[in-house]
Amino acid sequence: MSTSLVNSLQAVDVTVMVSQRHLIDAVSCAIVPGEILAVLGPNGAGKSTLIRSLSGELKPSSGEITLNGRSLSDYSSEAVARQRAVLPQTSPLAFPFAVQEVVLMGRAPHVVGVESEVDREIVRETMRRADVAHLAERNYLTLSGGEKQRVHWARVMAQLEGVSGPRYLLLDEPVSSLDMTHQHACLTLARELASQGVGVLTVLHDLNLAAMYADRVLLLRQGRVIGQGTPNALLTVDCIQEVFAQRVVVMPHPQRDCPLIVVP
Amino acid sequence: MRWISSPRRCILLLPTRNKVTLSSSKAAGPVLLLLGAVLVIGVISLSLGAVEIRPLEIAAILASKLGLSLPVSYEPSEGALLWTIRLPRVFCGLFVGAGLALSGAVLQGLFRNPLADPTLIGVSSGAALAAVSCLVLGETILRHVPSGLALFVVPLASFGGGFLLVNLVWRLSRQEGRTQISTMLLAGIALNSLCGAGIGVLTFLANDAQLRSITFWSLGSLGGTTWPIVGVLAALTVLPALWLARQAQALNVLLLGEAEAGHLGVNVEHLKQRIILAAALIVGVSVSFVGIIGFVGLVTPHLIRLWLGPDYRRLLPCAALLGAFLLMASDLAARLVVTPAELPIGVVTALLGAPFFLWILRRERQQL
Repeated sequence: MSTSLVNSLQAVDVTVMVSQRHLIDAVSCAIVPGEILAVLGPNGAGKSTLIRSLSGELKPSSGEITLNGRSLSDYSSEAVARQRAVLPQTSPLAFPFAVQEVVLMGRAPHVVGVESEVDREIVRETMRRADVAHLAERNYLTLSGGEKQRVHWARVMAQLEGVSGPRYLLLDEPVSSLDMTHQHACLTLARELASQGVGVLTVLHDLNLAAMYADRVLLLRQGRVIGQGTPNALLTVDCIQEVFAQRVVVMPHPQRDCPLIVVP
Repeated sequence: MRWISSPRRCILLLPTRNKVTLSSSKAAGPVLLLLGAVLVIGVISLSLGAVEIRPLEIAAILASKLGLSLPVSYEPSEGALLWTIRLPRVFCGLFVGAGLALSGAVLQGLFRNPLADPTLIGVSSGAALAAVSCLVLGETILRHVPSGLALFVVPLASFGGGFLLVNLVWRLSRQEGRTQISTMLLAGIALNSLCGAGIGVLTFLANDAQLRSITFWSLGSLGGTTWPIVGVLAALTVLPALWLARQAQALNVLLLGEAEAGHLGVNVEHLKQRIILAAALIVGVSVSFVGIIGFVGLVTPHLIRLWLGPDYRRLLPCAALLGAFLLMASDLAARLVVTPAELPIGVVTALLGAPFFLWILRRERQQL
């Protein structure tokens, strides 16, 4: 893989070691604008570590994270925040903000002082897209887990609005607390953002969701990359057996051009 | 005072339904209201006491200091009383109250917990221990310090003590990047009693005059404020306060979590260090002059959050003003209840604040 893809958020041979243990080991991958890359693997495979390295939260022990061809450490954290957003699994927010105030925090890297009408318009629009417009004035603390998740969706979308140039979005298990309808709504939203030129990386547990929504998948096991490619090429009986140690049956999806994975 | 006029909410421009929303005028309203309250309590405090000075006389005395003469007569002794005793004391209450409320507000943000407070987590007792040891053990040293600088020695020492303590509590109460509230409160209790033990040892070593000072530090009093003290308090409270006010939006974002704040471009380590520094400076300096005054830092931000929500852009200016008001009112009560003697102000704030704290605890538990 080239080390200088100009438009990408890239991990180049990234190793993260914590107390002599390799959390991830020489992992390389690239998030490209317009594409969804799904990271799959069993618990403890290093999926969260990879996302935390890509977000700059963890410093790699060796290797490098590059943003548009330059090392992540060359950028100020504000400059990074204007082109890259991260959707957390959960947020420890324990203060009674109104939903729209939480979403407005997404504008923090863009706003100096008081937000403008443009920022407010962005907040309104992203709340509508994340289906939380009707909650705008509700106390965040009174929401359900799924509603909170959608509020943070609106927040990260607001963060990436009004930006010229490539944008990237990292999703850490975005659907784990959602019901089926909202799982699909959530990944449809990711798809929509990708079609607008956002490069999306998402950690998923459900192989079928990955097969349906991802352009490429990255298989991780014990911190190493087992394979990278299209869902059709990679989500095969053998690969899944190797990564998850689980026997599965793979058949073509009856209505879509992607594999359907079931446990026999 | 840019930060007082800046808090505006986006809410009013969003399509609102029938719910109550804060318009920008309403956001400026609380600030004006609180400013008025501070002014009123200030005038009442100047006026009431063993000798009553009427508001018109106050105006005349203050005008004469500016070289103007108003057609109101007053006793020269009243003028001296007002200028050398009551006015510095009122300003002292203003700065200490505002400072304690601000440091409470930002510490609650740092710990991401609405129960953090300078006294509960040990900042105040660390500062008091440092101040008391400075006095008891360092008297020989202090004697050689020029009197102009001596005013700064105790504040600096208690700033150091407060800084050390808040750092310690913060490090003890964090686990995997999260602050454990139970650990925080327990570490605060442990360190508070450790400081208490330290002060106990020093009490044992102290002579009579020092003993009186130690009692003063553990309960707090605004008596004995002089203009130089007001000057030091003003400088060392206002500067950190202005810095904190500029961080209001970063403080909001920090409430989302440290990782999330980092993802939104906040330099989290830098911000956290500065919050601790600012809070320790404000609390350390006020403890060194007026002793430990509890609950103002805890209760004030809470009241403002109940009233105006948790947005730091409104919270900081309003909490500072309400803190000033509460402390000035408590001091007035402390002076008036047992005239001509006075209660320690820490007793008054504890009497008012402790029941409120219990009420918050109950309320939080019901919410969970």
